[in-house]
Amino acid sequence: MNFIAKLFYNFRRSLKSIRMFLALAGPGIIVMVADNDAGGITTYTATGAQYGTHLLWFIILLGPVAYFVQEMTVRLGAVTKRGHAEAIFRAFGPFWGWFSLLDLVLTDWLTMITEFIGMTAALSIFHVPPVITVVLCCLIMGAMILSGRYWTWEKAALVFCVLNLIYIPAAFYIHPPVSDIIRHSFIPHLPPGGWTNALFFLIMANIGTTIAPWMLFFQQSSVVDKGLREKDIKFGKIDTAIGSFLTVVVAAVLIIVCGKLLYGQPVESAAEAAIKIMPTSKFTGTVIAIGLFDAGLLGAICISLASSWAFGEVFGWAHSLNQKIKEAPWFYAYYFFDIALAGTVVLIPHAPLVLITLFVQVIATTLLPAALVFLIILLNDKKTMGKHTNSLFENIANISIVAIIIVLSTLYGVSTPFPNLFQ
Amino acid sequence: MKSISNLFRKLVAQVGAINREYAVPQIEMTTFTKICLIGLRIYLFALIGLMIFKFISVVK
Amino acid sequence: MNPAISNSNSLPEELFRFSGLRKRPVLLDGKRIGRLADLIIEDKDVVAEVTHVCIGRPFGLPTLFVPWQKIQKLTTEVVVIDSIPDEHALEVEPYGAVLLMDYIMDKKVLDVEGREVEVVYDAVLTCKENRLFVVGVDLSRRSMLRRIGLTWLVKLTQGATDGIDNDTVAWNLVEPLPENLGSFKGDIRLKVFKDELAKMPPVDVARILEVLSHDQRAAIFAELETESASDTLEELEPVAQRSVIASMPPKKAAELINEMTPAQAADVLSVLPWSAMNEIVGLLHHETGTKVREILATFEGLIANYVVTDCVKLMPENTVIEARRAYQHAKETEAIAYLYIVDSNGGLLGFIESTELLRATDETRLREIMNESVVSVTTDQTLKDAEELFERYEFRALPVVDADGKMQGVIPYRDVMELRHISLE
Repeated sequence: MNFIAKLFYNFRRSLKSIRMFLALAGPGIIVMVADNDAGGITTYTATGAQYGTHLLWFIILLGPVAYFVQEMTVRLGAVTKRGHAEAIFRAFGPFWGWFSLLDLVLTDWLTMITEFIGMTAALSIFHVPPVITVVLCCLIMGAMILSGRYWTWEKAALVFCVLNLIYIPAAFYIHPPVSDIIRHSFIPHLPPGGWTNALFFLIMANIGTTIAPWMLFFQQSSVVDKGLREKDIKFGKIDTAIGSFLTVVVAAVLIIVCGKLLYGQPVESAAEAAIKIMPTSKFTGTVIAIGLFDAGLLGAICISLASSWAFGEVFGWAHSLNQKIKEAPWFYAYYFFDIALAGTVVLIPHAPLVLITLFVQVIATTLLPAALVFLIILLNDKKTMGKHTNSLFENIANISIVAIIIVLSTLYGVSTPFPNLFQ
Repeated sequence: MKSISNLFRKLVAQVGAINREYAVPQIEMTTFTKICLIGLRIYLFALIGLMIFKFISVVK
Repeated sequence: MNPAISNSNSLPEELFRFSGLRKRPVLLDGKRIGRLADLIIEDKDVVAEVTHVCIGRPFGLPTLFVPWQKIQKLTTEVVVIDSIPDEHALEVEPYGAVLLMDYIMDKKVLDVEGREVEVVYDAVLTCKENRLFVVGVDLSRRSMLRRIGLTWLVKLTQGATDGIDNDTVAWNLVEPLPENLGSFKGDIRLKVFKDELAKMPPVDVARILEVLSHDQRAAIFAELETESASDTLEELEPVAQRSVIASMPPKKAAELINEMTPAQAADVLSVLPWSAMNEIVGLLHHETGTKVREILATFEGLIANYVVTDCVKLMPENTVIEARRAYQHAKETEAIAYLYIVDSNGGLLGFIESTELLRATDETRLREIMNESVVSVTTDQTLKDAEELFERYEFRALPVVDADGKMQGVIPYRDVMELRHISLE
């Protein structure tokens, strides 16, 4: 084979890979970008405002962590062709099945409320009343499923993912201190002020927003709904890797922006951050507000789908985005029920929204270990996974990640209701 | 009223059917798996115990 | 013919390049539903048969795998399919499907020793009796240029590269497709050595040509070299022979037939209409022409007309080493199994089997090892006599002598026993 033939061969092969990737990409990118939901944006702005760019190294570290955890769901979905809820029921029996499902439904519903809090707050900056925001949201989410095709839904979701990247130009716009950023990104260190409860809470919030049970359920179900096959796993992994890269970039950009513009003025929420930034830089403030709305919307879509899929799998309803509303009525009914319920709670005047947000975080982080342990056990089951069982390296990486998260989240779960336990 | 109780009965029947369907865990019960599951139970009960304790102490 | 696969609509016989079919619009009830994305093929030794047509559809609609029977029309312009009762049933990829575009195109081609030869740039397909076959893979640089969009360069160099760049490898020279063949896995293996690619055995060529239609045969035949074309022509079935000869100019046909023995030439020519035969015979070498005319005109089958003069003749005084040298020059001779010993007047003295030459030492005189009890036929005997001798003695060829015992040539076993002869029926 001569040079030209080799060149042609490699060219066609790469082209084919790229084409195939474009066709198969989706679940990983969507779940990872949706991971930066309203709660996530709030967490990042709070982190940036409080500690500047000092925690960047930790955020960057969370990228691979998210990749390793989520990548397991790709394999599980592609091999078993079952969603996560069904996989847990099948593997561990009804007790753990119901436990996981209820855990998912509860945390999803509570997280949905935080998404709506974020969205209404973001649009109220532009003087849009909350009622209209909620209605608008329901309309968008309804429109996305109208065609009855997974493809349409996925492409629409990817558009929202691209919109989520609007933070990136904002980072260039504010001329951040580049040398500081590089130093803080790659040298792990404690931020000024040392180890405090506040720092611990922020770290936990960052973990909690990067790894959440709904993400596991969502990605596995969407991998199944998309119809990824075993031979597509490689592309699914790349998809997830790109997604985790994007999620880190967005998080880092937000921290950099808030670290530059808000350093030393702690904020409670992303909307508050946007309002505070407005006077200094109208562009950046607007971008944060729009991004917050987009993040909340993307989060809401994915989260409500995650529980719809889970319910569909367990109760045996038709549960595919490839089906029209008539064909899968219960699936879509639950999808809208979730939105409507969360939307209504936000519209209740004087609802204890801050308390709800805190409650969500505690519940989600304390229940997270169970989901991760199940995942590792499932991925080590040779009988179902065959040659896609966790390799030694993957096991070492995943088990150490899970062990650290279990320890941290137990501490968090205990220290939130008992703040004085360790002092 | 009757229709609600009917719906409820249906739901219970459905849950029962699901429980029967998944009654036998399909995963291979290796020692590792068993230890993990027992550990998880202990972890969750301890956590729930703590929450109840907190609740009681707040109410008091 | 397999009725399950044959198409109820009658499709014209035609030769396609896969690149000419891919991405063509697919119509259903006059509406465009997508483009031809791929073909599912089933490897069948000599050819591969197309069982499904894959239709890529827009807006994320899943690919349709339409069975071949549903194809109404297939041209390089458009593909028309029959109405489909249940579209969802066709969205599932058939189990174990081998996709032409996905699995075979752009794959490496390895020769029999595993050397990388080329890349599959294109595939040659043919429609015959309402079935679609893959008859070969195209490894030519020209197809590569076409694939990367340099069609103008192909046209520019058309004349210049015609002779050197014809690398269509027939499907029967492709090893059965590997089990692990996938989008990225598996190579296409050939049954031949790299240097032999151009020299496909005539029998193989013949087998492929027989599957093809008139036009395709003509197209492929035109690309073969005279000698291998001649050999291939001999191997063809009568029907195929007729169609091939009819497709080429008489001059070219005569050129091919000149390469044959008189018996073979007559055999091939006998299938032609009288006028066509006459024209070609007129163009043959004078001597061959006369013999062929005689064979075809008379019924008794006189040996004189069947003599092949091309044979190895040596003197008794020659040594074994000289005989071997003579052999090397005589590669193209028809009757290579024997070496004949003649005196200075050309009188037949004896023969030596070529295998005996291997056993003898270099300096041995041929006289010492020759077999003197030689069975021969005379020019005035008939095919019937030759047939009896062949049946009795199992020679590969018989020497032919005239009335004075002078050797005229040989008559090969095949010319008598494996061809159709009116005189023997």
